[in-house]
Amino acid sequence: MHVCVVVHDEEVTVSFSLPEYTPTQANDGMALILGYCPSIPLTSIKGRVRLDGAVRYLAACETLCPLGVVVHKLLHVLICLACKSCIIPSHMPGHLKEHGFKNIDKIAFTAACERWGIIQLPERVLHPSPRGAPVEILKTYQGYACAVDPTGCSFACTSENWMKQHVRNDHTSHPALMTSCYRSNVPVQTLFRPFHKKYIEVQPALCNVAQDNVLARVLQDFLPTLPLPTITPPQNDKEIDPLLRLMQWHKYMEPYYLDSAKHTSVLALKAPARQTDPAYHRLHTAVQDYIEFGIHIGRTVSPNLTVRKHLVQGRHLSSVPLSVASANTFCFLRTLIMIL
Amino acid sequence: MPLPDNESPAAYAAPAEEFLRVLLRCSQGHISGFTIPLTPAQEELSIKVFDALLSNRKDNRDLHELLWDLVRVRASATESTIHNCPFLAWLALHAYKPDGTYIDSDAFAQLLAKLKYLVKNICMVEAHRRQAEHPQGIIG
Repeated sequence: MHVCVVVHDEEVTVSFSLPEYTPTQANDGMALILGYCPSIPLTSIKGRVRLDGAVRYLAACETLCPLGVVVHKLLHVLICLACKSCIIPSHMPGHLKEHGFKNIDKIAFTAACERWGIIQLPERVLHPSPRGAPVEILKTYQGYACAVDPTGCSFACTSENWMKQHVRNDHTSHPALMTSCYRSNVPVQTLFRPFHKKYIEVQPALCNVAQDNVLARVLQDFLPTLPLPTITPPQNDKEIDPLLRLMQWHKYMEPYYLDSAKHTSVLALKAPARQTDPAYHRLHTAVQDYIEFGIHIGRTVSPNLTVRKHLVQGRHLSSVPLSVASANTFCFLRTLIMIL
Repeated sequence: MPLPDNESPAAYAAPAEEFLRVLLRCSQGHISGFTIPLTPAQEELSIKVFDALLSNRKDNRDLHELLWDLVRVRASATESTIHNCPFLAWLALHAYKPDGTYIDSDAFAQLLAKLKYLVKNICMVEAHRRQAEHPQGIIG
């Protein structure tokens, strides 16, 4: 059997015969795709339902169809065709009034809900697993998906501020750069709105694709587990912007981006302090107190004190230390500010 | 300049906190092997700051002495480079993003403004400290 997948511009071809194939470190990803690693779950997010893109889950009956309502057979929810949203059974009669259905046979409606096993409370509804096929009919939005822990956290939303709040509150040891903690322009869906909103990242490409199809396994299971692509250094100065050319950061950081283990460890160096690390945790308060002390001095204690800034650079530095009015830092500050 | 009655003091403190966190982690020996170039005196001061944080001392004298030593003008007129300036070395790390690229000039300009304010703040604290040492004035 031959399977070919293109990952980060590198073509991976695996050839093997069933069932003697033995997964190795190099082809674990393909083993995962083809189900040779039973220890790795299909999805690590518990309490989720995996939707099969090739299966039509929507159903209707003679009671619900005239009302413009369909049933999702796997999620056991009612979907309003006009609003393209799930509605809980107790809210459905009131909701349908908005669409002009004023006299609803509540006994028949309740019986239909019981027959289909519709879940009454939204918090008891099992949501679809992330990066799976979209729920039919429901609206798809462009949103954000958490990237701090791709296998353990499936948080998604439609507001960037909401996502930042999630990263700060739920991933205390998140990377220092906030924009690297989430992915933008991600297709997301929510079953209920405007209340009980819970967004799920969906993969529109999996519409009409069977759950055991290789494409589904690659998109849903394999790609999220891949490490970052290899970082290649610039070949010449034309590939870098003027700021980088001036600062030469890429040369200083070269040992770190060429080695993925060093890359990870050097990023951990600037990670925020953890609660369990008292010294670094207290540093936050200490620095803030220090800044506020300086503000206090400037505003109240010594109104006659001013800081005179002598902006000098490199070899033009005076050999005589100035009293309190200058600093090495200004040397590069001035150079850069002039350039910027 | 940060306003005293909103959240901007915290925003202005953030780069200083990250710089000191990286400096202290490096001086304690970090698995990455990244180094912030320090003079022997600065290394001693960084150990004092770390001890002060561990023992939860509220006094900011050690912190100020370290910061002042980092920003004050040296007697020798050596040019600051990324290999001998703690701030320039930290800036390289700060600018380094998880995808291997670096922060853009907009973000860098904002960072420089905060660093410039930090230097001014350090100078104010130093001036206040010297003024307190000589209440009658240095020349009496």
